[in-house]
Amino acid sequence: MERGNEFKAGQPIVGDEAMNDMPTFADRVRENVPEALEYLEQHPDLKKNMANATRKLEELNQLLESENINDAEAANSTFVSAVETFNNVVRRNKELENKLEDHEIRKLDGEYSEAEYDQAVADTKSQFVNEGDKLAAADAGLVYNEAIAKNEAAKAKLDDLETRKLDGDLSEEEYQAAKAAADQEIADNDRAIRESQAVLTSDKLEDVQAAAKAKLDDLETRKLDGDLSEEEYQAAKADVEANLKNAEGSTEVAKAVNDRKAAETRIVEAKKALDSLETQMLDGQLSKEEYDNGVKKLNDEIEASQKIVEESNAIIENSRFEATSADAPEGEPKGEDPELVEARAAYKVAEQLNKDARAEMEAIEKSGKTDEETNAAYERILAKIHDSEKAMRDMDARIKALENAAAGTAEAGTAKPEGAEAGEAKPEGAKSAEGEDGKGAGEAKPEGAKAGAEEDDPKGEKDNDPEWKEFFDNYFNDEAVRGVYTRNGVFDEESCRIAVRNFYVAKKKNEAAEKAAAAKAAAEAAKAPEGDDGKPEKGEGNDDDFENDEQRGLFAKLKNFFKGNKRSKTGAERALKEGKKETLKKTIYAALLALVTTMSIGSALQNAGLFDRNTAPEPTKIEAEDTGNAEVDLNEVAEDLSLNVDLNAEKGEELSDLVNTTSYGEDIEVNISAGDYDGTSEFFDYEEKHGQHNLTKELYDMGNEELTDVQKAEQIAEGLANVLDDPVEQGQFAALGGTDVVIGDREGGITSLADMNEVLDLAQQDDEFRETLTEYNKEMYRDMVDNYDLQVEHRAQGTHHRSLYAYEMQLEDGTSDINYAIDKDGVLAREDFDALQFVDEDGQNILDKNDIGGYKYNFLKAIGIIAADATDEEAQDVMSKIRIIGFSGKCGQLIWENITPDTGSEGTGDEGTGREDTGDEGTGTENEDTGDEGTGTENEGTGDEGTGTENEGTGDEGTGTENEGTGDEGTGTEGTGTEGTGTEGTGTEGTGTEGTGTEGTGTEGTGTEGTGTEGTGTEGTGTEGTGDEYDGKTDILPGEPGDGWTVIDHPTPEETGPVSEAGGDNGYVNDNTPGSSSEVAQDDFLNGGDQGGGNTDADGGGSNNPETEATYDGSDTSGWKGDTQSEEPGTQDIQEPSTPEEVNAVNDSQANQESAGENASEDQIREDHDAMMDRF
Amino acid sequence: MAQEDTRLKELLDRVQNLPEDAELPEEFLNELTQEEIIAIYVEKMIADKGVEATDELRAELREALQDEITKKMVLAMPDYLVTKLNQEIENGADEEAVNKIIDESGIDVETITEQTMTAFRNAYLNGEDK
Repeated sequence: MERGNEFKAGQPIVGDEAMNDMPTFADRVRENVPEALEYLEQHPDLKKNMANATRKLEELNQLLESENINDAEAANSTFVSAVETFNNVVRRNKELENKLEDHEIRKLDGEYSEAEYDQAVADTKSQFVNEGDKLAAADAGLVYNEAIAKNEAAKAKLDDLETRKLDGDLSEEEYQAAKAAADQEIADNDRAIRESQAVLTSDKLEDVQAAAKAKLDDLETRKLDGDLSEEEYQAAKADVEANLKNAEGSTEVAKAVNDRKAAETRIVEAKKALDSLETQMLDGQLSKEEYDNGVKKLNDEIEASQKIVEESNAIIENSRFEATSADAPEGEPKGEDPELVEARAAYKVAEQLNKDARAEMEAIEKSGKTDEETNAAYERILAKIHDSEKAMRDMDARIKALENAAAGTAEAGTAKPEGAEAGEAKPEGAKSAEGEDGKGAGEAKPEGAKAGAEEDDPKGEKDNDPEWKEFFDNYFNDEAVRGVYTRNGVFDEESCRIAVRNFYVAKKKNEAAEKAAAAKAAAEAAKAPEGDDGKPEKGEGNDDDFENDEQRGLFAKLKNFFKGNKRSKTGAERALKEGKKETLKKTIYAALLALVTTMSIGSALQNAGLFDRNTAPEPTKIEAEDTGNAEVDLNEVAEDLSLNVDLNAEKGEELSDLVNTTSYGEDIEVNISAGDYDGTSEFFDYEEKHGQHNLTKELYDMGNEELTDVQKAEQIAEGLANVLDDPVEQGQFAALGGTDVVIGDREGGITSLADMNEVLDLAQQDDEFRETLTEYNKEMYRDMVDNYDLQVEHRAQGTHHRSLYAYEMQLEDGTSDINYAIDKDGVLAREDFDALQFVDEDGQNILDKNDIGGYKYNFLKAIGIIAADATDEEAQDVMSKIRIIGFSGKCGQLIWENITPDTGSEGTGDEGTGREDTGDEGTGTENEDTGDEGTGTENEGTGDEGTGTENEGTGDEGTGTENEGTGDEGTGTEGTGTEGTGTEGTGTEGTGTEGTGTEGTGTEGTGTEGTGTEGTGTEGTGTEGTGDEYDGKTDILPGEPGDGWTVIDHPTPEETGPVSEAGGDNGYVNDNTPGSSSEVAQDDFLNGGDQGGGNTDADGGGSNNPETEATYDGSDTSGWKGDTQSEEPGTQDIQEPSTPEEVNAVNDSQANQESAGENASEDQIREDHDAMMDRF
Repeated sequence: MAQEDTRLKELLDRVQNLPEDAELPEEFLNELTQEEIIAIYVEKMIADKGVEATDELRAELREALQDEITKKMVLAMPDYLVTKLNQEIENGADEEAVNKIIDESGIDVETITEQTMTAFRNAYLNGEDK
């Protein structure tokens, strides 16, 4: 087996010691940043445009050299931003350089004529210019963020100067000098903010213009509709036009900024060149004449550049462009930790971005436009909203953490300020609380009284409370506190008294607030549920499951709206049908009769509920004795659980014999007898694991909201590396590889589930096999990590996906066997999680590329979704219907989702599926259980024909496009053809327009295409019993025989083997991606996570379909869930008795919702308290 | 109300005329509203539980179930959708408009409804008595 690139961490590849040899983020930074800086030195033009990123990298490099850096620090957002900026740019730069080189080669080879060559070079060079603009924007973003943070600190410093002056710590002269310096700094920062904001705005001018136009259109419409008076219209219009004008003014400022930057750089270089000339002349390398000429030329250049600088400054100065205010919020505590200031500033930026994005979205939605361009803009805006919300959450958490740390430090240390030394004259106090440099926090000024102490008794002299007296005695007499208020040997008794009083008052207020909050919480907990009115009041609520009042409010409102939802009715029908198949006649009659007599469903509820609706239902569990090998009658269990088990199925009896469990339910426990196994792998310590596979360990810290996307990606990647020795993971990886897994006696590739299970068996049983397979997989994994960028896709709770699962069965001989199967229904995520992706320079997930011989192709073939004898065309068609999402961070399994013409994964909600009036008929459009709806609709209108027709049309429907969120590329490149989608493939594009009606594909059924006009809606798809057909058999899992996938005789697999390009000996690496040199790979190592970097728009967003993760009945834990195995090797017996489905349905519905629960604390109290902490 | 009353009575008659032990006809289900389906579902729950079916019990369970479905739906919504729906309803959006927004959002309404109802039933059957 060939070895790939040597692993760059420098550790040995083989051996157990190398199991966890994947480098940490800090390791990779340590390795690559110096190289990055070296690259910049070699490319001065690039460095010119990336001055700020370079500076950040240099800073990071210094930290690295000091060896003090840790992962957290390396992953600091400004470093990450700089590193990401660098990598994005350099990668693109190298790509363009490669392109130029390629043009030259082609010219030499005769592929280009002279004219063609010139044109190609010109095109490529113009891309350099475009990239330069993007660089400028990225760099400006860094400047902007830093300038805001610096400005906050500078303003705080100014306030501190005033305080110190009043305090007598500064003379008037000293004060004026310091103030002038601070004012200058603020002015410089303001200028930097304005300039960088201009560059950023200019970069996004098109979006701003589009939004303004949409807004103006909307205003006009509203005026015509009579919603606005003429006066209101004119005023609003003037506002929009003024803002637009301002934004358009950013262009000239941006250009001037860039021109000035370039000119300044030329001046610096010219001056260096002058020095060099002089040296050369002194060394005799130049004649006097040459020297003089050289000097003149350089001086002319300097003069010209200086003129440009002056002109640029004038343009900037006189431009009408105005920056938006970046002032700190009022009431901010003075002298704060710069980190906190920066976090607050970042929060404001994110908040503003979010606000702007929402305004833009609103404008687009109101415009009602559905053209390609508008849809594309919508997608981008949606992504912006997600990213900015995420940034707000992150920053909010960070701010809270910093504030708590500050408050905690202050309180924990008593009144003694950290850093303050007893007797020291300099009032440096309160460094504890705020980390403020040089701030005399302990300086209780009259201002201290403003922080909250009673103004009529600032020293507490009238307070006879013993508690106060004791407090006062303790603190006032504390040497350290006194030291704070001693200046120049003189103790300021009055200030000290006031400060101690302020501290006490704030402390009491805080305690009162905490008590009140606790009492409120207790009262709410004891409060009975609301009556039939159902409207929860603020702060109250029946249901702690809601995260905020907005949700509670919506819940109350929806009570009156939701009953008429057709799709909900579909779900209700399914639930009803799941009941036992006994006569319902009597029941129905009674129910309807009751409705007749008591028509009001909203009749008053008594207080005593049937069960506590505030808690999630208890898991359905049968408590069984732990009798080890005690057998359980599956039929009885099914009956107890009211499962819809086909008790007469042949398989049912077999299952009963084979499955040996002692309990079912939410937490499936499979008791496996210990000590009765032969030849099992040491990896499965059944005695300890008690039957639960340890395959669901989270690969990253899912609960840590402070993790950036980069950190998440890194953690998942490292976590995944750590499980590569797990046989279950190994089988999946080996399937991705697609080459022959020839180890020991085993020969041949992995082209079926049976092959996968064979590999899994061998990995479990044969240590040598497992070790070799581990190395095989690690090599593949290293290639992914080395050559591609890491990225996460956010998967929200409730979103749907599919995956393999592993189930374990105890066999008759007492041994246990683990096997793979596919869950054709998929699962809904019970909580938010992230999936790891590896993306190439085009931002495409390599796991999802529809390349013959690529990872996706190999994997789908291995699990039987692509038929073993499928032609390339058929394989492409299948691949176009599936989107590989990535490796679940929850458990390392590869997850995917079906995408069909009528559904589209973007149906998950945010990707704009819903925008296009899919509406009423939309059953087909949603991707959750897409197969069900989709097939339902297809079956309605088309049945098998529908499938067939869809196959023709599907490609066109841009299944690939939507999911990628890559928009245009996706459409074309996924082989979907141009007709169908043309756009970001949210499903809204073209699905309807592209011949829904005309081709009769089945898009008729979807109704989602928002076309309405195409007759999709009218075709009665949604109404045609979508969901009615749900019987578990209508899933449209491609490749599944009998589900409309026409099996055709094809050549043997050898003739249709994987195709890969250069370097494709092993066949498993998708070598279609350019830039796979190790050099690029090293740069790419630093990329990953949120490509938005704060300055660029992120691609796509998370899908937000509701998901819960079903647990498996019978053997396994969540994530990898189990099913009963077919006894026929090589088949996917998905037509098992419905027991697993039923249990899964049961388990799905028992998802526990964790309530966010936020502590309410009075802002003012906190402010006061913080202000008091300043004094200590 | 009168019209609904009449309709229900027609449905009742049809049920009465169904042969014993007959499977529930699909077309019959198609004609039922969600409200009616839930009523039937609740009735069956009570029957399976083996407790006396009173009107009060029926009403309580129906409302509790409907609330549970609504709650799960809200919890499944992304923040922006919650905000949007709140605004739309406050601005006077009708039921049709609201349901359209929900349907367009991509939330799997069917599955959530189905699973919520199943869980509700299981909890009731395994939980406390009323």
